[in-house]
Amino acid sequence: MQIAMIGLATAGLVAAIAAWLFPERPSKFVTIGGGAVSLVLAVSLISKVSDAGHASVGTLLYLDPLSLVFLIPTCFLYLATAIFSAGYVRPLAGRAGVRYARHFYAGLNLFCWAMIAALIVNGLALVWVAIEITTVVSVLLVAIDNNDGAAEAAWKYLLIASLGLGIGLIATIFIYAAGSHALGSSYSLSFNLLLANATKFPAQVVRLAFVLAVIGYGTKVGFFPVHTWLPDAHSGVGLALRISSVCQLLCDTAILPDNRKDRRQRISPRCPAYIRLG
Amino acid sequence: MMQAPAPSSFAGISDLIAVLVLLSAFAMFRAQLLRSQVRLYAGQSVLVGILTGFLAATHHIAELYVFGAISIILKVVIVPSVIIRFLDRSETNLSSSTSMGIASMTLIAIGVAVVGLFTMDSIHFESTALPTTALAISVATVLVAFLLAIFRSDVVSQAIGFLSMENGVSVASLVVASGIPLVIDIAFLFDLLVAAIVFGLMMRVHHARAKTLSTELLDRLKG
Repeated sequence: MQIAMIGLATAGLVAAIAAWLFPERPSKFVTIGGGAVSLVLAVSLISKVSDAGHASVGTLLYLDPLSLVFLIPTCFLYLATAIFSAGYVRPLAGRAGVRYARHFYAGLNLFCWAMIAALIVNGLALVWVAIEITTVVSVLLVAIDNNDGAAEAAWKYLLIASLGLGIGLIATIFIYAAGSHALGSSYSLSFNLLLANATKFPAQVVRLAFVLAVIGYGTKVGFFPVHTWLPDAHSGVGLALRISSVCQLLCDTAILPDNRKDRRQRISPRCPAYIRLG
Repeated sequence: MMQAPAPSSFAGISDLIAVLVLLSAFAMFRAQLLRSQVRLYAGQSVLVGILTGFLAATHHIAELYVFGAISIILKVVIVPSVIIRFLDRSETNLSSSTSMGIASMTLIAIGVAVVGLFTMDSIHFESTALPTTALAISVATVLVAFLLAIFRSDVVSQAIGFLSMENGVSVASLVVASGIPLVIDIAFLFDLLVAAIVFGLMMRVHHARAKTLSTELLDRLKG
C-alpha cells in the first residue's frame, strides 16, 4: 500500500523529467506510461482504503475514500489525455517543433503529477502548494502556442487564478488559527490532526475560512462569478489544450459548517483539489 | 466610565508597522511610474521583514529569523530586481495606465480598506503573537492590493498588486499563525518565487507580442 502511494506521488514527476530529456516519440510513450501506472496504482488502492478507512505514508501522504473518488477519475483522464495527445499533437518539424513537444509533454506530465499530489498529500498547506504548481504549469501550457489569443488567455488565467489562490492561502491561515485553539501554536496542518480535533475549533473562524476557501479555490475551479478566465482559456488557446479530456480537481475547503443541534462544527474530509484543464 | 487600557509599546510598534504596510499599498495605488511601484513593493517587503524580526525577537521564535531573512532576500532583492531588469529591457512607456481617475480609485480603496477593517474587527481572533488590530490592517492591505490589480491596466502593476497581496497575507500569518512550521513557510515562499518567475515570463511574452505593457489590448477574447 505504501509503495503504491509512493508510486502515485512520483510517477508523474518521473514522466515529466523523462519527457523533458527524451525526444518527441519516446515522450509520448513515457506520458502514456505515466498515466497508465498512475491509474493502475490508484485502482489497486481501492480495496485497501475501503477496508482500512484510509491509507497513509508517514505524515506526508494521506488518502481516504473521498479523495480516492476524485483520484481515480484524475488518473483515468491523465491516461486518456496522454493517449489522445499522442495522436493529436503534431508539432512542426525543426527545432521549434522539438522545443514545443518537449514543453508540452513535460508540462502535461508535471500538471497531472501536481493534480495527483494535491489529492494525496497530507496537509492543507501542501494542497495549496500543489494547486499553485498546477496553476503555474497550466499557465505555461495555455501560452505554449505563442499566439495573441494564447498570450491573452494565459495572462488573464494567471492573474485571476493567482489572486484567487491568494484568498485560498488566507483561508488556510485562518484554519490554522482555528486549529491553534485545540492543537497549540505550532502544529502541522495534517488532515488526520484536523479531523480528530475539528469539534474544538471556533465556529466563527471556521465559517470565515470556509467562505474564503470557496471564493479562493472557486476562482481556480471556475465557479460563477469568478469564472471569467475560463471561457478565454478554453477558446483562446491552440491545439495543445483543445483535447477532449478534461481533468477536474476540486479543492474543497476541508471544512463544512455543520449546524447540528449541538452547534458544533465538524470537518468533512474533503481534501481533493479541483482544477479544469481544457 | 472605565477607560480602555493603553496599548503596550509592543502592540503600538506592531500596529505602526502594519499601518505603514497598508500605507505603502495606498502609495503603490497612487504611484504613476512603474519603477516607483516596484520600489514601494520592495519597501513594503522590508517592513514585513522588520515586523517578522521584531516578532521573532520579542517572542524568541528562532524560526522566524530564518523566515524573515529568506523573505527579505526573495521579496526585497530578487523579485524587484527581476522586474526592474524587465523594465530596463522593455523600451516602452514606463508609466502605468488606469481605468478610472486617481481620486475615484483612492476613494474606493479607502472604502474597501474600511470595510476590511470593520469586518475583521467583528470576528474574534485570539493571538498571542501580534495584536489582532494588525490582522484587520493586513486584510485591508490585501483588499487594497486587489484594487491595484483591478484598476491598473498594465501587466507590471497587476503583478505588483498580486505580490503586494502576498505581503498582506504574510502579515496576517504573523498575527494568527506565527508558530506555523518553518517548512510550510519555506514552501509558501518557494511557491511565491515560482509564481513571480512565471509572472515575469508572461510579462515578457505579453510585451513581445503586444509591444506594450498595457493590458487594454487584451480584449480579443470575450468569453
